[in-house]
Amino acid sequence: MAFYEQPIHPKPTTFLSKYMISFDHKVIGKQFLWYGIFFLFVGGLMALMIRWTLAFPGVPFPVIGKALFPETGGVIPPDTYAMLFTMHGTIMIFYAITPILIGAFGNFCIPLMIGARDMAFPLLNMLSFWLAVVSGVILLGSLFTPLGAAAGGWTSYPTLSTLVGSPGTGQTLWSLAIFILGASSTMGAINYITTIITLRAPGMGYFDMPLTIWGLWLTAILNAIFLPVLGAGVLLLIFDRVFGTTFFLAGAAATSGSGDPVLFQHVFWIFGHPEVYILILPAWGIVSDLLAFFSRKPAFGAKATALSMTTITILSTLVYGHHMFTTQMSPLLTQTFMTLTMTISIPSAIFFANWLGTLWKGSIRFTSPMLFSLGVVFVFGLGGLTGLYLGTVTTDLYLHDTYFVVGHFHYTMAASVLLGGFAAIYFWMPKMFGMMLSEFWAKVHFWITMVGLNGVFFGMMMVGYAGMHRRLYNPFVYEFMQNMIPMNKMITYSAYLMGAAQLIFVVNFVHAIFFKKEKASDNPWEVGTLEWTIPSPAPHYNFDKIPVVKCGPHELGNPNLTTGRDFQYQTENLVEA
Amino acid sequence: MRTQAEVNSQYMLQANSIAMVVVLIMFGMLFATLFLGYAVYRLTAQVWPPSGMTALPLLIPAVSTILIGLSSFFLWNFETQYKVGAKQRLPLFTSIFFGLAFIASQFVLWSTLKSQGLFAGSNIFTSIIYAFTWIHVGHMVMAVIGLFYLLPLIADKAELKPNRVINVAKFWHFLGIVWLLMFFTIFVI
Ligand SMILES: [Cu+2]
Repeated sequence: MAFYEQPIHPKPTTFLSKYMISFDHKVIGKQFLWYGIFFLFVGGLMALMIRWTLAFPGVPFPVIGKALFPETGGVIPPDTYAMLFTMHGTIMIFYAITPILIGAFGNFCIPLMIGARDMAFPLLNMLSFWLAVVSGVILLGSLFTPLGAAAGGWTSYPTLSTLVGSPGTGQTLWSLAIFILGASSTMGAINYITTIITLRAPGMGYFDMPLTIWGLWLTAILNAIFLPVLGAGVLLLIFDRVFGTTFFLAGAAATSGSGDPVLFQHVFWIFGHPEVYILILPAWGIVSDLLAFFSRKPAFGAKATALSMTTITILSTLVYGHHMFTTQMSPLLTQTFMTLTMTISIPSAIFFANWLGTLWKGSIRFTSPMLFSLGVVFVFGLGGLTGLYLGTVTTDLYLHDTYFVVGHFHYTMAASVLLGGFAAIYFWMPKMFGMMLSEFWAKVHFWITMVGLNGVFFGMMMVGYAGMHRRLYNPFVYEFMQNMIPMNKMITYSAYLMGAAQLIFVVNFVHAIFFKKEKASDNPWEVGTLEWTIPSPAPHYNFDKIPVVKCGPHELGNPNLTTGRDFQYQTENLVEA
Repeated sequence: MRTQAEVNSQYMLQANSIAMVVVLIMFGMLFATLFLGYAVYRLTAQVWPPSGMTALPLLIPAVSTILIGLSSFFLWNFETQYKVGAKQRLPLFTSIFFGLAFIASQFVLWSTLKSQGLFAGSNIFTSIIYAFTWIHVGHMVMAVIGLFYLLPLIADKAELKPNRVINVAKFWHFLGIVWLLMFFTIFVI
C-alpha cells in the first residue's frame, strides 16, 4: 500500500529562513509562543493596574504610575480604567490564550503527535502568524491614539462601542484588529482540520489520536464556524463607525431609521459562547492526556472523553442566550437556553469523572506538568460548578454583571487555560527547545501561582456575591460596598503574588533556553506518543520515516509488558497476555 | 497498484477539497450572519421598507444577476473542459469579462441609489443594501484575483493543475449563489 509522500522542507540556513519566514510548524509554534507570552505580560500588567485601582482608589500606581499618567500624578483616571479592563480582556483572550494554546501548541503538537512532517498547508500557516502580528500591532497602536484605546468592554456592546459611546479611532482599530485576527485564526483552523483528517500516520484511527489532538481539532472546527460570525458583527460595527450605517444605532443615537443595539449582543454571543470552548478545549485535551501519562495507566474511558468533548462542542452552539437573560428576552427563550445550558453538565460530568477515574489507583508521578494538570482539574471543577448559578435564570438575574461572573469566567477561561498552558510548556519543553525546565522551580511556580490565583478568583466570587458590580471605577462610593474594601485588598495582594510567581517561570524559561548546558533526553517523561519517538529537540523534518501506528496513545502500566518499560510506543504492537 | 505520483495527486485532491469545504463553511457563516441580521431587522420592523423610502431600482440588480450568472456559466464550461485536459481560453476570458462587468454594475447600482437620495446612513434598509453589496464586492475582488491566478494555466506549455481551477471555481460559484440570495431577498421581495 502506498502512502502520500510528505515533502521535506530544505534545512533552513539563514536567520531569516530559520526564525522569521519559516514554513516549519515547530518554528511557527514557537513564534506564537513568544507572541502569546509577550501579550500575557502586557495583559497581566493591565490586570495589576485594575486591581491596584480597586484596592487603593485614588492612590498613584507605584513605580511606573507617574510616567504613564502624568496629568493625574500617577493615579489611574476613570476613562483609562475603562480602557484597561477592555484591553485586558481583549488581549488575554485573543492575543495571549489563543496564540499560546491554539497557535503555539496547536502548531507544535498536531503534526508531531499524528506522525506528520508538517501541516497540510505550510504557507497558509506562516501567513496566519504574520497576520496575527499585523493585528497585534494595530491593537497596540490603538493605545496611542488621541482619545485612547477601546473602552467598551471586551464584548464591545453598542452603544458603548458606537461613535456615540466611544468617539475616536481606538474602538475602530480594535474592531479592525479583531477582524484581522479572526482571519488569521480561521486560516489556522483550515490547516488544523485538514491536517488532522488527511495526514494522520498510517494506522492511526481517530480514537488512536491523543486527546490533545481531539481538543485542538474540535477547537479548530468551532473556530472555522463561529469566528466568521464575529467577523460579520465587527465588520458592521466598523461600517457604523466609519461609513455612517445605522445597524446598531437606535433611538436618539440614530439620526434616522432604526437599528438594533441588542442584535450585536446576539451576534457576539453566538460566537462568544463557542469561544469559551474554543479556549478551553485544547486545555481539556492536554490535561486528559497528561493525567494518564503521569498516573502511569491508560486514560479512563478515553473514547467517552473524546465523545463528550464532541458533544459539548455541539451543545456549545445552542446555549449562547444565557449571556443575555437580562435583555428582556421572552421567558420561553430564557428557559430554553437555561435548559440547554444545563444539559452541558451531562457530558462535562462524564469527562470530569473520567479524569478522576484516570487518577484512581494510578502510580501518580507528581512532576510539574502533572501538578499543573491537577491544578486544572481543581480550578475547572470550581469554575464549572459556579457556572450553573449563572446559567440559571433566577440566580443570574441577581448575579449578572457582578464580580461573581468575573470570578467564574476567570476560573474557567483564565485559571484553567493558564494552568493547562503551563502544563503544556513544562511537558513539551524538551521537545520544543531540547532542554528541561528546572523541576524544583516549576513546582515553586505552581504552588505560588495556585495560592495567588485562588485568592484572586475566589475573592472575586465572594465580593460579587456581596453585590459588587463589574466595571465600576470606584465601587466604594456605594455605602454597602465599604465592607468589601479589605476583601478587595486581599484580592489585589493575591494578584501581585500571582504576578510575582510568573517571574519565577520567566527566569526558569529564559535560563533553560539560553544558558542551560545539559540537553534533554529523547523521552524524559517516558511516554509513548509519536513525538517522543524522535530526538529532542525535534529535527526540522520531524520523522525521517513516517511512523506506522499500532496502538493507542495511553498504553501505560500494562502488566504484560516485558520490555523493562512500563509504557509502550504507539509504533509498537499492543502487548497482550 | 497505484503509482506514487497517483497517490500524491490523490492526496492533494482530497486535502484541497476538505480545506475548500471549510473555507466555504466559513464564508457561508459570514454571509449567513448578515442574512440573519437582515431577517431580524425586517421581521421586527413596524413598516417595511422604512417609511419615506423611494422604490429600489430593479433593473440594475437584475442585469447584475445575469452578468454573474453568465460568468459562472462560462467558468463552469472552462472547468469541465480543463478537467479533461483541454485548455479552452475563450470561456475563461469571457468569465473574467462578465465578472468584471458585474463589479462595474455594482458601482452603477450605488450611484443610482445615491442619485435617488438613498445613502448608507439613510435608514436601516439602505445600510443593509450598501453593507451587503460592499462585503460581497470585496469578496468578488478577491475571487477575480483568483481568476487571474488561473491565467498562467492556459499557456500551451503549462502543466495541468485541476485543483487550482476547481477551488477557484467553487468560490466563484459560491459568490454567485450569495448574490442570487441577496438579489431576491433585498430587491425582489
Ligand atoms: Cu456561555
